[in-house]
Amino acid sequence: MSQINETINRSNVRTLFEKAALHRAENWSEFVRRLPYFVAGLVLSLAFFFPFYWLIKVAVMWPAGSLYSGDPSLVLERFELFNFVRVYYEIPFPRYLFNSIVITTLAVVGSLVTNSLAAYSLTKDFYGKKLVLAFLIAALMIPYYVTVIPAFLVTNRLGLLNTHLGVALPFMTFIIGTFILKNSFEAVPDSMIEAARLDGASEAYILFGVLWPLAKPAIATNVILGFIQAWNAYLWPLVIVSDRLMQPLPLGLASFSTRFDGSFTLQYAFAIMVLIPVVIMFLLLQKQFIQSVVQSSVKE
Amino acid sequence: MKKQLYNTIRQLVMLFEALTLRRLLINRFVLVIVLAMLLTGGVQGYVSANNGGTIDGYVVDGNGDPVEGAQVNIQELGIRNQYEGNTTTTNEDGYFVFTGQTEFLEFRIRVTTENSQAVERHHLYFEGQEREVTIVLDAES
Amino acid sequence: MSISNLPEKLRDRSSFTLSRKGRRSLIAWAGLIPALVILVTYRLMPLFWNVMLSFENMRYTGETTWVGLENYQRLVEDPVFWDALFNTILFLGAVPIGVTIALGLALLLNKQFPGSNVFRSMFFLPYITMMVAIAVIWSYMFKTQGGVINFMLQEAGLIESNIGWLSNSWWARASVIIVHVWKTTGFYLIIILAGLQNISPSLYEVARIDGASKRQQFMYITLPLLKPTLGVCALVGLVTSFELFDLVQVLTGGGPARSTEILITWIYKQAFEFGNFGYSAALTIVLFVLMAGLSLLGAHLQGGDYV
Repeated sequence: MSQINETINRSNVRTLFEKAALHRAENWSEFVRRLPYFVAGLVLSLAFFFPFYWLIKVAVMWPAGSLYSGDPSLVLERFELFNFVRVYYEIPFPRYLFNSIVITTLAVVGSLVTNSLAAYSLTKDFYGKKLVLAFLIAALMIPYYVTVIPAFLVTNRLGLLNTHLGVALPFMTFIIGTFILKNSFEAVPDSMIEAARLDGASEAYILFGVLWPLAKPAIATNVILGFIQAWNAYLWPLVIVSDRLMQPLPLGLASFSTRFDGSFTLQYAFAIMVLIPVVIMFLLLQKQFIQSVVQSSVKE
Repeated sequence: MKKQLYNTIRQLVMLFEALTLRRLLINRFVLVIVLAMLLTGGVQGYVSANNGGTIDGYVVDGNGDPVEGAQVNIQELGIRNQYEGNTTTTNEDGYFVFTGQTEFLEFRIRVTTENSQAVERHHLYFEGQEREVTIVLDAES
Repeated sequence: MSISNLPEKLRDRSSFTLSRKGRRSLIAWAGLIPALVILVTYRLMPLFWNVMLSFENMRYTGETTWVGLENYQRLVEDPVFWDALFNTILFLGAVPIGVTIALGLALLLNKQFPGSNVFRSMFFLPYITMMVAIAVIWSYMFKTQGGVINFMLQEAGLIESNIGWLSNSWWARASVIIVHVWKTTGFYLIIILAGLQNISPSLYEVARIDGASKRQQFMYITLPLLKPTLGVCALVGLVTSFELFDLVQVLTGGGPARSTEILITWIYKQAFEFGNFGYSAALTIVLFVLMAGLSLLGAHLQGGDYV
């Protein structure tokens, strides 16, 4: 028995070596053939990326004189972090950041729980299921701007103007997320759920203890979509928040840019401070991000 | 019904405990947040130790010799305006000092003697940072 | 369960019990409550309230007076409304432009050379960033004097005098479209790439063996099989036009003399700067009808070609 294993192992290793050598030879000629595509891709993507390069270049420039003379240089000459210091002392940046974080966390956690509950309910067969599904699909078609003014009036009546909860509440459910979670839950084999039920698990445990760990990609999608929606939101917070100290980052940036219209090194520095969290998250979770976005638009 | 409810709550609590404290603490995000807080604390400490607001320095000429009796004027610069400044003169070592400038972030120093002057713009990294400046006067400026 | 059985069942049961499906329904409905409450409060009810509001005039105190079709009449006579309507439709043109560019890029990136994933991410990054920040960045790139875009165009010899990107009404419209295309192209790229990868390469092999040229391969294999993907792009493009509010507000503020005003920014201004909630609601209804009509049109076109 061990001799057979040995033979198998040895031949595996040899074929692996051969494959690697072939791969390397292939790779090189492949690479040369693909070179023009690579160059084209490089040129296009660098050109496309230019605004971000310009953003960094201007934000680390001090003093800002040459930008106003009509002769900006395109090369990164100086590297000074002073603009960030100026912005930090000029606006309550930690406060804005805090507001954004609270609103986004409320929205993401709330939407995760709400969508999960709804998705789990939708996996069952119950009276009125068709009605609920039809309602959800119809609600998908209602674009958000139709709801802005009445939602403002509702939030006003609830006394939630200028509060974190008031801003986060409409974001606490989004139907696409519910459907994605529903598909993910339905993919779990019934036998597993039955086994859990037989063990005496309650419905809540099945949802949070059994289905959730198995639906990690769908949960990640929900979190990412909710995060993007809530972090970048401008119109809704603009409508709800009038107190300067309760503004989230997008509002802070917009009001800063109207107040300091003309000092655009400072505005660029502020913009960088605002963009850094999303960029870092994206760099760490690239694949998941892209997958989530594709999933949300290509509805099966 | 009541028994079911009790069961549900017990299981949820069990789930909650299953996210053991250890797993919650030792993961990437918490580490990053803790690091950020430590960094912020360290920076705050440094800032409060060094924000006396003293700006001093030397005025020297092209050969490196101290210039005595030069008039030094310092002005705070805001984002779009400038403020009234202070003036002092250098002593025999070419040394000058301004104290109590705890709100300075960006400032302009103007040095004048009988036959030359120099203007320099500087910036600090936090309000009230203490800074030493050396200004070189050429005979021709 | 016939009627004759019913009294018997009721007599036999001492307490109220549900069938298994009934019990499931109770739990299911309980789970749906949070989502339904939020949806009804923030989606369904506002829609109907908006319709009602459009027939009323509302003052800051909250009192409403019924004015019938007066708001709609005012709408027809409002020159800014017609400009905004025109601009809203015009800016929808950013979708086909973006999709075309994304198609070209996708064909290039699909060759799977080393680094294509990095480029894909570089194109996608603008899509997830904050539109407000993007608008701030581009507003200074578009500056007439000292803006880097004019500078580069002049250095390259393409123009002689600086273009008033934000001061001329047509260039301002162009600048809005440019920024919107820049932001959304990465998104279309990702979707089209996914669609391209679903086309099995054996199809191309067979065509190549049969002697089809590259162009023929593209026209007769790629394009038809991409139709559903392109349809998705168009539909999603309609949705992404929502973020134009951020862009127009920060980049042009409605443009030199309202030339880049779109319906949604006009709605916002009417409601929250001028306080005309009723009129604003009427504008919203018009926008809704327009968008719903376009979506239905798009779905109809897509459904017709769907194989």
